[in-house]
Amino acid sequence: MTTTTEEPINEPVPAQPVIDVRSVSKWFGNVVAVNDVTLQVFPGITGLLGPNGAGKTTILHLMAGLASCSDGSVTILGEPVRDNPAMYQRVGVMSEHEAVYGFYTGRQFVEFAARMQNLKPVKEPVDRAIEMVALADAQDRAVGTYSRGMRQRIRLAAAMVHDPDVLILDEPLNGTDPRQRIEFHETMVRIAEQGKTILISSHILEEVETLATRILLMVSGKLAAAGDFRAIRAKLDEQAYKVRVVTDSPRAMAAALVGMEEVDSVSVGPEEGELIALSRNVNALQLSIPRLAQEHGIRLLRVEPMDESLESIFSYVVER
Amino acid sequence: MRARKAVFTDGIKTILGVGHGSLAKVLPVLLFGAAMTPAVIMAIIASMFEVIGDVLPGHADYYQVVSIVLIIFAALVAPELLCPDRRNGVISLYLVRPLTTTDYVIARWLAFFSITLLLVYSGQAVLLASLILSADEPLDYLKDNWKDIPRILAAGLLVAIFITTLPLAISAFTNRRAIAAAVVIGLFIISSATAGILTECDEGHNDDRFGNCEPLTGDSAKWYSLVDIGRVPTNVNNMIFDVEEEGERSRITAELPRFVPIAWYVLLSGGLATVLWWRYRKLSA
Repeated sequence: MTTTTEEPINEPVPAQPVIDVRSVSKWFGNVVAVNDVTLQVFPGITGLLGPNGAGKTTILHLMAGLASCSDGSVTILGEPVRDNPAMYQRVGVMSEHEAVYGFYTGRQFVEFAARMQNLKPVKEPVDRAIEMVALADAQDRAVGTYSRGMRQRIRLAAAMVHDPDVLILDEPLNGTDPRQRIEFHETMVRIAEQGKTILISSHILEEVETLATRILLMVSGKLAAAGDFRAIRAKLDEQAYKVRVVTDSPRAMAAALVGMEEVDSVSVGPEEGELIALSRNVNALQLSIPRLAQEHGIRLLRVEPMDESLESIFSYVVER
Repeated sequence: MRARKAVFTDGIKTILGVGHGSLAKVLPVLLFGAAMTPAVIMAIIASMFEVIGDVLPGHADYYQVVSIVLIIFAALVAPELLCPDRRNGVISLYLVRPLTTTDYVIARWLAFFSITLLLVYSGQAVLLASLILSADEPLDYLKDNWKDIPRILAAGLLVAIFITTLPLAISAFTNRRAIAAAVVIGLFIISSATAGILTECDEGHNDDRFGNCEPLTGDSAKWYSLVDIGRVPTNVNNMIFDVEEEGERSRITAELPRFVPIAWYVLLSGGLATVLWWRYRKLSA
């Protein structure tokens, strides 16, 4: 459950927040990365959404104690997390950027994380964590040989090897393929069902849509909206947004897209073979595009929602 | 405790290249070999000739002989412990564990210190063993030279502390290993050259106080001799073994009050350790 003092969107909230962010600001010189944000995160899966540069990573770093607040306070389970290393026995953090020793095998890497959590013995928790991210078959391979998606999963295993009450994951779905996303979703749901608190950031709405029932929207360092995903989504659905399609036959693809019910308009993008489709039902559009391409014998090179459109959606929510 | 031990063990493995590719193991093996070679050569000579003592270099000279190797070892290997962790973002792995940045730095420092200490003690141990075994009466030799053992231990400890702290403190300021290594080596070369210039003899002017020459900078030369960073642990080593090294600069340094080289060592080592701690204290992911 998530609430905000700025714009609460329905829902009663449980009494005790797990993560409590109060009037937090963070600035770097003259740049204000996070501006007077107040929010609470409760058990279950919460998505932290926002376009690139919205301040998601900064607020996650503040929540994870990786940076100090310029103003305000952050507590997890009632305790400050900054300069409180003991707190990390109850919190698991996976940062956005690559942070894996390539020379370790997957198992050694998770064992290393377990030892740093003062776990003893490490075998059982390591087995459990690796099993949870479905990397048992690849656990004895060097991490340097892993695909990006596998590296994300082994990092996730390392972040949760100590069975933390709170998981803070910054862009965990980066680089994962659709199958891995499904596996990741299943893993997150399993963990959440144990009463854990999971906060997942993403700059792509669809990544979190199927996972988190509650979301926090950040735009330009401020909390734009927070609450039940469906309530916010209902507002978002009123707004059309862009999907970038790159193909080897842009003309044929444009003609096919225009005929689709889900598409409001199609324009030619600046890159070769690039089309920008405007849609109010991006999910249906993304499902239809591969079928359409197959029917017309068109080779799809890329299909992705655009950050800018997400930002416009957030702006829309804020304006409302 | 286990967390600190994990970081320490990882540091040892990194230094020795354990778990890394075969290339990563070559450098420590080469440097270890280079540090041991003088001790082995000195041991072989000692076992072949009866007369040793003043003729051959002994324990007091060993650290001077291997100091170049130790500096290269420190410059090339120490940055490996800190720079990649920050450059590749691995540092956040540590920062989100029940471990402070101070714990991290201490564990890394201890890892490098342990290997350096092992390196300096191994050479001295080989030398000591060969000197004892090559003596006509090994027990008498040990009885006559027992003071060498605490001296070896004390001097080795101080050399290892300095050789560990300096490159790690420099590595705390850059994410690039090559830059850290270049700065460490450059610092030793430039400080040595600067001290050389500042204590250079005025060949046209003889003065009994300095043997056969007077430094261009006059009486201040003895203070300028402290500029040579590479000699900071060596000066203390000479004091521990109570020997005076050959060479003009050593004679000039010996003119200083005895506490000065020690105070300079403590100030530099303590200052560098504080800088290292402070850099990591301020660190955010």
